[in-house]
Amino acid sequence: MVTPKWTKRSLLGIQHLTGDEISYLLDISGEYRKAKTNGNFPSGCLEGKTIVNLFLEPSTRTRVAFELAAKGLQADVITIAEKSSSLTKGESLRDTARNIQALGADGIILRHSSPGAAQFLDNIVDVPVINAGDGAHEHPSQALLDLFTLREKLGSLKGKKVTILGDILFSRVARSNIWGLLKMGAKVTLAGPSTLVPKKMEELGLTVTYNLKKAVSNTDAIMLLRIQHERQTQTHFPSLTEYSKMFGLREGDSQPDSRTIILHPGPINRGVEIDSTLADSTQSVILDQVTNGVSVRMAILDACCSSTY
Amino acid sequence: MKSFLLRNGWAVNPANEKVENKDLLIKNGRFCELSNQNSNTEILDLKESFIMPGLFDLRCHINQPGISVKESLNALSEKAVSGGYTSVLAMPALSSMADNQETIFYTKDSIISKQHINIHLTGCLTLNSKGENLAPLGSLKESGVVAVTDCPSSTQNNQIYSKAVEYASMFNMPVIELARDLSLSPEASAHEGLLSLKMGLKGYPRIAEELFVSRSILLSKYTNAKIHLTSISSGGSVELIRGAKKEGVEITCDITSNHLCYTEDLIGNYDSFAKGTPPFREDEDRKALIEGLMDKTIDAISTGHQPFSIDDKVKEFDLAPSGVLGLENSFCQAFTELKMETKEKMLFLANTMSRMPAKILGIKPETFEVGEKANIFVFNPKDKTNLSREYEKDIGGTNLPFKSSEFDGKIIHTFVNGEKKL
Repeated sequence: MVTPKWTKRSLLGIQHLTGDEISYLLDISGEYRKAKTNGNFPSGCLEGKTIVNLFLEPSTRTRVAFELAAKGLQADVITIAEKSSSLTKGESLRDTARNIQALGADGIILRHSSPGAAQFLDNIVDVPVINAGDGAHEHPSQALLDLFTLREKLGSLKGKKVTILGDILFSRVARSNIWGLLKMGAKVTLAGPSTLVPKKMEELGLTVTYNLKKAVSNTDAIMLLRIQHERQTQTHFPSLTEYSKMFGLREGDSQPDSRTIILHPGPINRGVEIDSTLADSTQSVILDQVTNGVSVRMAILDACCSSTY
Repeated sequence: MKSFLLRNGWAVNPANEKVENKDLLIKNGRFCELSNQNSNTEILDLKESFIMPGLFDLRCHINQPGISVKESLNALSEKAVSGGYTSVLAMPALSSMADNQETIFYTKDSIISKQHINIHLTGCLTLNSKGENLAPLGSLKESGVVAVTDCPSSTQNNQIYSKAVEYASMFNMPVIELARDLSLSPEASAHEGLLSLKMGLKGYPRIAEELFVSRSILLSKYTNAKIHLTSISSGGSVELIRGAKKEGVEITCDITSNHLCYTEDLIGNYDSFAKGTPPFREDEDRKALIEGLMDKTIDAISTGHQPFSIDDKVKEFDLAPSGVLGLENSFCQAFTELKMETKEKMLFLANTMSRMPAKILGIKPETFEVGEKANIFVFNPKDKTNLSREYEKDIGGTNLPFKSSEFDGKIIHTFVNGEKKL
């Protein structure tokens, strides 16, 4: 049986969690995962509660995974997307959130393009806030499902070598994973073009390299990040073709060891960050990540929203 | 008009670098021979406090007349006098942009005539401060502006900036520049460093400022134009200006008192109230700024006073406007931060916060001479001043960079043109 180690109201990021708190969430995730496999579903710990999915930036898998997780716990789920909300009428996030609380929400899951938006919301409302991605700041549920998948495949993460490859600068997934991996005792290497992987990150206690071969060899896992060339990165590297040539994971020269597992938060740009053959190979755990995403989000909702606060 | 006799104070005079124990008589708004007092004169016993020349702010955003929700003229004046300021230089973003004579005339009629405090006007350097076309600098000067600037914007196009500077120098008008290369700091909301990386905020690197500081130094060197760099924030800028001054380039600069005291740590919790223009940087920058101030590389201390309402500021961090208050806190802040013997410090602050700002603009500095308008404040270094944001809510302009803070010293009286405002 898992012993309760969770005292936080909200989940705003991984940076301020302890290793024990992360382990606790991963352990409950494991229970939910097991329950699902054994057909002991659903658990009704959120019965009668209303969870609001406030998604002010496009999202498919995170939104759906949270919806499924909340419904799996028998909560009522309401999803608000930016275009259908009063924010388009000029209402501030502060007022929108206070109204949602006044209407009786028991928890708010927020996706927003501003870094710090989840914390901003948490200062305003009294109900739990779960950060489903705030700008380039954090994406804790993604990091937890990545850690869960890594732990499932590799066992304890202490001393394990993990390389995060791609656009670190603009990535909230990278930031949350860096905190999580370091707290779990893994050895982290960041790799990608120098314009997207600041050397200054080494001050966090990790390694930065611009040499792909070095980054992908002799490592237990590689976490790929999506390259968002359509958005912020036009000024940061020449083209997707160049990126693929210099930092794309493919068979041959830059092929990782066969024991190395490959993760990607999706959506994948096939042929850019990774070749199709590798993405679909047995080394790839990309679909496991998606499946685990629901169990991990059930654990998060259970921890934050099920108890009375 | 009431007359006052100030007794038992130490008058701080940066012009002759003297701090003298002397009595001052203020009558009809001006300093007067002591023999002219009569029975109606109110006597103030200053009990060894300091009498300082009224402070002159080189960078104040006033949004007036009209946009009082950010901060009304009364609120601004109240803060100014509580902070020892008797004169401010208003940046050109008034209720409309000061890029034409009519706005200047209207502003003079509607706010300056009210004589809360002395407000000097700047005009835009380029039309609407957009950096695309020169503003009518000659006409603006005729209508009474004392400097031209696009602050808080900065003209990005080098050709337009250099022509504007050259054109302004024809009228011997100082150009004030808040150096920022936007292309190197697009959508930035924090100093670029480890903290902005951790917080996922778009960074405003030192180089974005330093490159434009270099631009102004070179222009000043080649055209002899009068350029004043306001609110520098990076240690590298201090280094560049120090080198230029050694070379004999006539360039001047100021820092805000907030940058003298604070670092990026203030925004660590996504506190949008602590988002400064420019951003607070690292402690090494802050130390370099203090060093530059001490060796006179930096000529003056300004407030950078940029008021916003609560609704403006209580937003997601990157969407909230940048800018912090400074009028009421600057003097006590600088007094607390600088470590010097008290009399020496009073002289230093009178020079950097009153005399030099006026001189940079070619305006006669405040003095205690008989016949001059009495713009002064009285400061007790032994008392304390407490400021906090809560207090702010009542009078508009809510965005002090700190939540609450205690400073050394207290301003007990302020006289603006001989009138006792505090």
